[in-house]
Amino acid sequence: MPVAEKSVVIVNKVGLHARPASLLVQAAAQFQSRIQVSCGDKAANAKSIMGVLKLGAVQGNTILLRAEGEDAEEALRTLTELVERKFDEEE
Amino acid sequence: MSFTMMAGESNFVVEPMRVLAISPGIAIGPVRISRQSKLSIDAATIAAERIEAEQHRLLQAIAKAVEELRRLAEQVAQAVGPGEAGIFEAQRLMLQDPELLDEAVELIGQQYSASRALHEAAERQARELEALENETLAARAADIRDVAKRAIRHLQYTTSDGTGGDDSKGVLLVAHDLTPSDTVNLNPESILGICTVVGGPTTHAAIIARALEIPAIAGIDPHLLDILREGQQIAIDGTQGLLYLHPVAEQQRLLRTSMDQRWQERNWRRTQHMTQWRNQRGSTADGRPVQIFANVGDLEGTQAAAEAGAEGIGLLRTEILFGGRPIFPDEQEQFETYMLLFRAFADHALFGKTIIARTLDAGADKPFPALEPLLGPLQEANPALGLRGVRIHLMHEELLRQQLRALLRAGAETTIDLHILFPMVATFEEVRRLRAIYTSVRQELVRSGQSIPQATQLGIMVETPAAAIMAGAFAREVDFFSIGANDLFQYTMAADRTNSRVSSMFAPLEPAVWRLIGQIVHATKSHGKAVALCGELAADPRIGPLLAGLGVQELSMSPPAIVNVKAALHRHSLEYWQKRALELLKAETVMEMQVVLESLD
Repeated sequence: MPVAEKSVVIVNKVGLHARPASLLVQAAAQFQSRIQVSCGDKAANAKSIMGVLKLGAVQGNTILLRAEGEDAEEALRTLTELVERKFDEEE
Repeated sequence: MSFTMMAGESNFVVEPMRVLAISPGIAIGPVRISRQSKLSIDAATIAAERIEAEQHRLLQAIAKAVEELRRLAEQVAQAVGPGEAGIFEAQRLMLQDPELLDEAVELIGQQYSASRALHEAAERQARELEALENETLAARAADIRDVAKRAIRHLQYTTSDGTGGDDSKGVLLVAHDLTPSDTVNLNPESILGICTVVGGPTTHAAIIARALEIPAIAGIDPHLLDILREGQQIAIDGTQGLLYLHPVAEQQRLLRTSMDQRWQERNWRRTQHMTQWRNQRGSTADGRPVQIFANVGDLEGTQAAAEAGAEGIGLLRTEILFGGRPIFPDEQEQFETYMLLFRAFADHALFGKTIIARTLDAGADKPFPALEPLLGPLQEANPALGLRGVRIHLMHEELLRQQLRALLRAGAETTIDLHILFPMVATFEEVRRLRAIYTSVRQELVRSGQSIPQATQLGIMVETPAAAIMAGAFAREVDFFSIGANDLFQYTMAADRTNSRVSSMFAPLEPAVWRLIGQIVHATKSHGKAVALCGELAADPRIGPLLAGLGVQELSMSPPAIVNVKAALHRHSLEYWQKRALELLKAETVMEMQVVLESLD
């Protein structure tokens, strides 16, 4: 089973708050892979909005994305791009 | 409690509990807890064999709530902007969250009810968010609680149909209270008896139970709703007001013999009435017509009404379209639903095709979450005297216009004879404004090229003493009147029908109420306007014919009561019923009324 891992810095202003968290979860849900997102000592299922919110990740935090499954590579690429694009937030 | 349980198991004879006697007769059989009763989130547990069904029920309720959130997000995105819609998207994801669902499903596995499981799972998630001490995340705690409530609403309004089991063998219905729409669908063939927490002799449930000869008691301890198991054998004595939670073998045998005998007599009578009266129009012995109509509130009831031999629908409640929903149905959805209801009656009706549709009477039986954005939270100290019926229509005309358009369009598309009825009218100004709105809606439809029914009559409910007193004046503005006897009773006597502490102080028929009905009939008839009565009072085979004697031309009731009232009405001439009704008008006490009622043969 392919596994992919990547760290990415939260650059958008509000951090992994409701809207960005929704977008991340919706993006993750498109993939077959199991995707974990962790921040500091906390880890969550990237397909669970409650889990992602509870990470409490704010601007400047680094999160680690880890995908396991056939589409792991593609999942990671999509998710990191989304974070780096600042979730298309208007600032 | 523990003593009772032990005693039940070890064959001691346990004294039955004293409760309120509501409808005479004995019933013994398996418990069926009505899911439409108030489900308390704090203490609801389920039987082990219901776990899977309950988990299924949870997933269905969540699917409905998710769909609502999807629509809400779409509507808000269109109306306001995609940014504002974001919160509903987040809420939708919360409701589909695997952590939340797994936890709720697991709690049901521990015999939590679906509502309680979801409430508990959401509460745990909310507390975890709050513990993070991040202000914005704490706000999301409110969201998760909110979405849980949304799904719980669906759980509370899903009927047990399909999951509650087969009731064809006969069950004892145990409920917090039975609303008018519950009683419409009561099937006397399968409901052996009724036990409610709330209630007195004048509630809907009480009157309909007596009319259908279903034994009933009220005033049972609310905890019983949680303690009783589905299918557990209990017995009630509706004559003396007794509840047997654990009847021992000997008691069971005696109670069953007594029940079976009465049951057979009653069924024989019902079958006789059904074959003889279903296909006959209502009339007195001397052939004077009295129309026997039905009160209905959904598709099932509408079909039942046609099959029971109703000569029309005297009260089509439209609340079912609006209740328990976060967004009101739009005109098209209303139109389609009315079409279904109208056709259901028109296709099966044995006689005329009159349907009297009442516009939304919000603020009465069920909460209307969709009204909250318009009116604010509808928590009033005294809802019966609050913002309900046409008071809401006149505050938000657009809602009324939409409903009238949908009703008129559906009326034009079908073969029914549509009448419109406005609830909770109290002043002349209201009557005039309602009439003006109705006229302008008709003109609007004509201008836009829509077809509308030729002659739609306009009527008002007489439920408030104000409307009763002003009936003569209102008669100049409307085509017909429909006396809402249940509400008129409670407003005239200033007694809450569902409060057993006061409702039991009054008889089902009080001299004041009878005289007031007499005055309404007199005032409206002297203006040549038709008058109907649509409370459960009409369903009582002793009282229905007397109402006809008083001059009421149309009686509207729950479908199963129709044949009994037709049979009772036909026992005497109109003149006889008039004379008796007049005697009742002279009575000054309940006792004097009782004397008249008991002298009927």
